[in-house]
Amino acid sequence: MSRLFLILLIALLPVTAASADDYLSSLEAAAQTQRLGDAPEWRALLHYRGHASEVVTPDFFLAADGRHDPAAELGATLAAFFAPAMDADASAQCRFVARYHWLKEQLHFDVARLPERQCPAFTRWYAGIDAGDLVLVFPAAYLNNPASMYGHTFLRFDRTGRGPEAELESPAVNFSADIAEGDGLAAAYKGLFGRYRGRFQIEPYYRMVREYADIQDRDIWEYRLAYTPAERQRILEHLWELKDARFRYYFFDRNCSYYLLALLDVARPEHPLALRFVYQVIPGDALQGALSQPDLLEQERYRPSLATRLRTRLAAMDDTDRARVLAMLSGHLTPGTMELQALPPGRQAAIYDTVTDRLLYTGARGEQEKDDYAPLMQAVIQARASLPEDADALPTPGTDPALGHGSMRLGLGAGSEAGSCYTELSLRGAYHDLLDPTPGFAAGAAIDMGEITLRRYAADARVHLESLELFEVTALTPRDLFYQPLSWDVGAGWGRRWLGAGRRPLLGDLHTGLGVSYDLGDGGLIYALMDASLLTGGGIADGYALGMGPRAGLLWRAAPRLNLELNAAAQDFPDHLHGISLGYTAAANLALGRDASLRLSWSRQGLPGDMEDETGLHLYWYF
Amino acid sequence: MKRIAMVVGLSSLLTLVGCATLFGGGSHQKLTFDSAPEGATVFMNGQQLGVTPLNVDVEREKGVVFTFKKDGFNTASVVADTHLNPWFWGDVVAGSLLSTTIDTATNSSVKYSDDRYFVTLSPVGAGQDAAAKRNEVSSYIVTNYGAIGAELGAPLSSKPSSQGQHIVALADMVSLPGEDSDRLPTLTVLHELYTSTHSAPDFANAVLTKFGMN
Repeated sequence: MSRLFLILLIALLPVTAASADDYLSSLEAAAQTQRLGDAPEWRALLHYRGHASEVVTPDFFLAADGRHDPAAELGATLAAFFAPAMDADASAQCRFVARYHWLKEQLHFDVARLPERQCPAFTRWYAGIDAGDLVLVFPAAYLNNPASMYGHTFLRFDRTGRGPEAELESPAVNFSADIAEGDGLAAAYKGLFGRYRGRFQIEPYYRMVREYADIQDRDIWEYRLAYTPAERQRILEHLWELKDARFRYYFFDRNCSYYLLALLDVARPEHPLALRFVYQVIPGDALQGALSQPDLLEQERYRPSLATRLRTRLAAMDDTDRARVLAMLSGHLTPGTMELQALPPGRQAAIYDTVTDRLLYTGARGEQEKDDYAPLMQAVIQARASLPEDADALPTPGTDPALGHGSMRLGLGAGSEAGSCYTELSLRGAYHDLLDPTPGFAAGAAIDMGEITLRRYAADARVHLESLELFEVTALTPRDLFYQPLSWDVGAGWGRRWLGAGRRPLLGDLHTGLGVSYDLGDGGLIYALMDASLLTGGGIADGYALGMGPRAGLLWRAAPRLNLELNAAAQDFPDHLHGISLGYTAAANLALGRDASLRLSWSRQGLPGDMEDETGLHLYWYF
Repeated sequence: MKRIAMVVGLSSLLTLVGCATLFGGGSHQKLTFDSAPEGATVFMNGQQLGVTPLNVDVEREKGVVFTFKKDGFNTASVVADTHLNPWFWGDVVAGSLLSTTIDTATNSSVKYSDDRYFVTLSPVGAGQDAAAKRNEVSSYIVTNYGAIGAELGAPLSSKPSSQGQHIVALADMVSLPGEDSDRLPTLTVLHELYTSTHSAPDFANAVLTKFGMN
């Protein structure tokens, strides 16, 4: 009997193989007829942009030229689905789950002729994710890390059927570059020129909260998106496909936000988000792009950072209670003493909660060892235990990044300079200056990248280069009771400078400043910096000038749509310019809408006794 | 002289502005190693350092691998942290050693501060799910120890979910997720364990033992 069975099996093998080949051929023909290789869904799954895929890992492709030929890759994928594999998890069906399910749907696989494999590893992983809602997470800008000044984006899959209390356990999907310690300044070069590889990783959300909200002082915005269960499944299946895939990372245009959008595109390839961005992808723009889809935003939540929570608690206290907080932290006031027990329970709770937040803050940043503050924390917790639950309102979210203006800016202006009328055209690559409309951006923070200004005087038909700003980064972080950061700025480019005696040459300008800022309340911020500048150009004797001097200013958000600035600066260039260079500026910016504003400015600069005035009225469009 | 001062001043300011975070620390670093369970022998690139809990001075160098060995448990290896938070790049998250749940790890490690590592060892023969659960709970505890303590300080009311996400998440990890009324007994136990221990590793070990994961 067994011999007969063996003979039958050997006889049938060629027939079976021929049958499989026939079915594969029919599937390939159907795929060609339907032009599935050019379908948006297929291109999204393979991350094609233009004529090539953005995945640089060879194993991601099954065809020899799969990276450049989507049709060939599709054919190779179909063939691979038929290939035997000792380990089911290593089979093409289980490695490329999203591809398999999409092709099965398009070509209506006959499971009798192409059996569907069980994929234990994928099944276990998918069940572990237990994905319910999809949330787009935006940690706001981090002023003291230049790249983080643009914010960041990642995803979170909340567990099915679980409420907000389970969010911290949820898996977060993050795209990041593999940067090694020790790269130092080389990291800048490598990141700008695609020398790093990036990949998707999954982390527990609580780690992201700890890093961004507790350590980097970044408020977090969470946007729950209305993707259907089928769309979420497609995203997760594709994430499984990408677990070993690497992409080339470019800081400006192939970064976390770009690849995140590309991941979302597999769910809705008919409305590709990633393809909207050509030259740069700034996280805030990516966020707005994602939320621009109709009816996609289900719910929005704000998660304040520890620092914000601490500042809010301090601001709600009177001076006496703030003094009590300081005394407790310095060991001069013991938790639970009669002095504190005499206070209303709400005030006691506020004091203890502020002390707790401060201890958490310093502990998270490693400024204090846990062993050092643990006794105080324990005492505070014990004293707090008998008091009512924390009834404080959360800090009011004031800078929803989804409300921010576009990061590029086009300007048209006119004015007068030293009595001569001019018109002006400017274009900025990114991102936000101190006077631009505030909603969506942190107060006192500015990044200007790549702005060119052209000017034409009424008396002169020529167009002059007024300035070319490579970058100008400003971080005016106010000091408070607990937090004493330095404020700083740094910039480089070319600009015209009044040197007196009718001279206003175009000079190279590299400058930086360090100082302090303070919050005045009611939207006011004062700052004082010590600036250092290196000027270069033919308009200066010896071709360069080094100078230092103070600068002070006031920024005021006078009304929801009105920003004002006053500043004054003095710089001494002792060896090359005669006298101290002075400058005064007053400006007002009125937001006309989310993406337009009108700016009136006046400035006076030059040397004592030889100064020029300049005024201007500019209309800006943000896009 | 003034010119020299200007050059020095300008250079110093430029350095301070951007590069302060690039160059930090000396050639040695003091590290602390804890494990669940305790008593694991720690090796650095094959050289024995001691037994957990362990404070030790090590030389900073690239390519360091810490190995944790204990009889009856799978050996754990930890590649010293690639510091993914350099001056320039905001798209990276610092200090994460647990890379992805896609790669199901038998052991896990957490670098929960600049100089402290906590490693959860899994018993030889333990199922993958059980090991993953241990890792999840211990990593969560050492990462959020401060916040857990702060939230446990609030009175344990009949509505625990309003008290704080950190302790509710921990309660759901160690017992079956359920309604608020189901969490109160678990929270009470966690409160007792927290007040009877004095460090994150101790609390993690106590929780794992109490809830049958050690």
